[in-house]
Amino acid sequence: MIRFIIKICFFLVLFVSIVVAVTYYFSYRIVNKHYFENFDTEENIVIIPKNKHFDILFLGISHARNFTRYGNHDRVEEILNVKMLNLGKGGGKGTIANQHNYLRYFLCEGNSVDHIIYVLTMPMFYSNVMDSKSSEMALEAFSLKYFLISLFGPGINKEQKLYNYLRGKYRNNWKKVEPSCTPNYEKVLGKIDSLVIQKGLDAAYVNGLELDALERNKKYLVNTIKFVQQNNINITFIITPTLFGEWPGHEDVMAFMKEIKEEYNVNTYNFCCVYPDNLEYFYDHHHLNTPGVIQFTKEYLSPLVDSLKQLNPRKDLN
Amino acid sequence: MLFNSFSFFVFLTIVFLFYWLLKNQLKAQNFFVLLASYFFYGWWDWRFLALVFISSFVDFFLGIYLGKTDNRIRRKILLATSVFVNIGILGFFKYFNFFIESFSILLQQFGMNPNISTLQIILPVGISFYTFQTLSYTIDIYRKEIEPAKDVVAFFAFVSFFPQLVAGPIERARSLVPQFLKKRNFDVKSATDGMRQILWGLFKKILIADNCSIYVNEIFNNYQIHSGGTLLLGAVLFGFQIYGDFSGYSDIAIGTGRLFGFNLMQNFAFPYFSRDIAEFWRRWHISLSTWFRDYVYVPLGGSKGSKILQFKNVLIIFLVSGFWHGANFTFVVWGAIHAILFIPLLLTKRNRKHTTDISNRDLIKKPITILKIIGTFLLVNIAWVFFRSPTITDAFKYLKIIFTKLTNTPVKNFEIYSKPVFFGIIIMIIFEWIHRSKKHGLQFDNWPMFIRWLVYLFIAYAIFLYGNFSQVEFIYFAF
Repeated sequence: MIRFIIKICFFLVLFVSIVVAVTYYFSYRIVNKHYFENFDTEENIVIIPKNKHFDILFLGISHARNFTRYGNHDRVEEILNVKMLNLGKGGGKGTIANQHNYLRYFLCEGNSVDHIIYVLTMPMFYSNVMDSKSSEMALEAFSLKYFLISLFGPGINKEQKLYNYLRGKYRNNWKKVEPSCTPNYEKVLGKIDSLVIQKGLDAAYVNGLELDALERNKKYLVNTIKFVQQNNINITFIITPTLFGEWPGHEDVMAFMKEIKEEYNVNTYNFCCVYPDNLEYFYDHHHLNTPGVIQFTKEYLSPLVDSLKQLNPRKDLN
Repeated sequence: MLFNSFSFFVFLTIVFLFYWLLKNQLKAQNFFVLLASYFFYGWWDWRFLALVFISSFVDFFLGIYLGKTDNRIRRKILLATSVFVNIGILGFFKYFNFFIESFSILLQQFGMNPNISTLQIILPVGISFYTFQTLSYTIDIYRKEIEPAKDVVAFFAFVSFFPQLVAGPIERARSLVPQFLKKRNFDVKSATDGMRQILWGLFKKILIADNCSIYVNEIFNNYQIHSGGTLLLGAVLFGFQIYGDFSGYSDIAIGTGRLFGFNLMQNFAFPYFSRDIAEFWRRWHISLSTWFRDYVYVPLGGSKGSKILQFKNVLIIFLVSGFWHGANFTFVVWGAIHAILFIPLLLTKRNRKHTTDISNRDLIKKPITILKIIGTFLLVNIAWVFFRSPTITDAFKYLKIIFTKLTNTPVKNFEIYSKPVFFGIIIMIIFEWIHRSKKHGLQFDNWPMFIRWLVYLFIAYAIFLYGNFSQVEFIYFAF
């Protein structure tokens, strides 16, 4: 019996060693071929820098990533006059749990940041499906640090996510990804179409408002806030504009954010209804196009960032 | 808890270690197996544990009474009670809505407009398997082929034994109950082979079946827009999917049983190497086909009597077998197709022509054997179309397109992601062909150790690299 157990353990150790060795080999090949800055690509991926300081860090799903996509990164940095990094992940893959893990990983890599702008989108709270899998940092070499952070961090479907992370290192897709991005995206939505909106909402809330997901994600968000405050980082939540106003489930989340304000003194700014008829700022019903990003940044983000500077005078955002 | 989930492997490791810590205490070991099995089943839905319990409880006490009485009428009543309870549970949970709907449709044919509503019934996992297993126990006692079990824990553990509880093999009491009653010793050789069989089962399930399911779902769900060639590919892939899925489950179940010192019956004997349909049915889902043979076919008269009687018996057995798989007429038609293919062999007394494994010499001497294997495989796949389609009409339309529409409409992303599927299928065919006279595709006791370990690592690595880990449920859980 002991012999059998030793044999099985030996096999497992041998197998895991081979997997880790080959994973390292493949992923370092990726790194040697291409090195992307976080904002160099339109891919839904993030690359975590090392030992760098940023003034602003964006977290969230595509509505956060949008401040970096299509060459917006440089524009937003210029308008706000800050150095920023965006860990937002499109395709709904950001998720509150994933963002928590990315943030931890970001800090573990020796980076620092003064202010976090966390873009909240309601489906992040209500969807279990959104949290089911994720293509994690496919253009980065395998990181045991990130693997362990994800293993012990918050989140559901960890097995699947970690497996995808490991196996992502073997993909050949990276060969096709060039370090370039679309310079701008000025497509304008032609008209507000309620059918398209409904279809989009159905896709975002596949199983409706999942209350178990809401409760779980509330806890994750509180953990993120505590973690951020322990690290002396300011955090502010914003909700970006849409053409349909509030997302389903908005009221409950806002009530929760009110509790957050009382308990942790963290503000949430709701901009969802600031451009109700300005189709020229959107490429679909809830994503800002390049002119929209510029306008929103100038009109709303810039004063917000200025107020953050006031909030934390010990740090000069420049 | 799925066999292809991480939680199962944590569960298995814990249960395995505790189980062998109790190795000199048979009763405690059996009780632990019972607890672990109920935990395993309760992981899906603890409420359905009551069904497993009722089925075990009823048959245990009916068995005791059957063993005590020689009164023919009383024995018949006791047997009828067992049949009533088990088939009643199965009938209610699995077939109630089907009968209600069918009855409603029938009345509509006669111009009536009945307002009959169905119930929202969840199908308990594996119900068809454990009800058949306990039923065979009381029938065997009734026939005086076995003695009733006196150890209640051992009997309950026999009914709920977790490796085979939800999808078989459907064990017979005469084989499994005695194994619960005698001391079990850890056999390294058997356990090692059990691990190999588990690895092979995972390969078939995660790499082949679950990858095939992506294309099969795409093709069958949108068959109207695909070409005949694509639909043929879909049917063939479903053939491999269901084989990988179900035989993979059986391999994991049998392998797991061996880790605990139990020998479960072989459920698949490389059925796609069959040379005719009769041989296919001796090799496919053996525990179910032998169950129907022993408890339905033989009591009906079997292959004795006139040709008409034989024809009737074969037809009944295949239709019932089809219906066992699900409450849908598609399964009945699937059974009927197999009956139609089988009956000519029976009537011409060629149904037992191929009772041995194919030797290499057979292949060299009679190259037509290969054509026979391919022909049987294609016929089986045509029948699978009915098994997989939601309605009979869909199945006929599907087949019609195969034979009439040959325009090229490739499956979405097929070129990119199909490599693992074909890689897996080829590896499976090669390994199973090499080991076709053995119990499973990875049973190579005599190969040098270095080669063996290389193969284990290769298989494990292939699963890691190409497997579909989205934890697709086993198809047969629904039956």
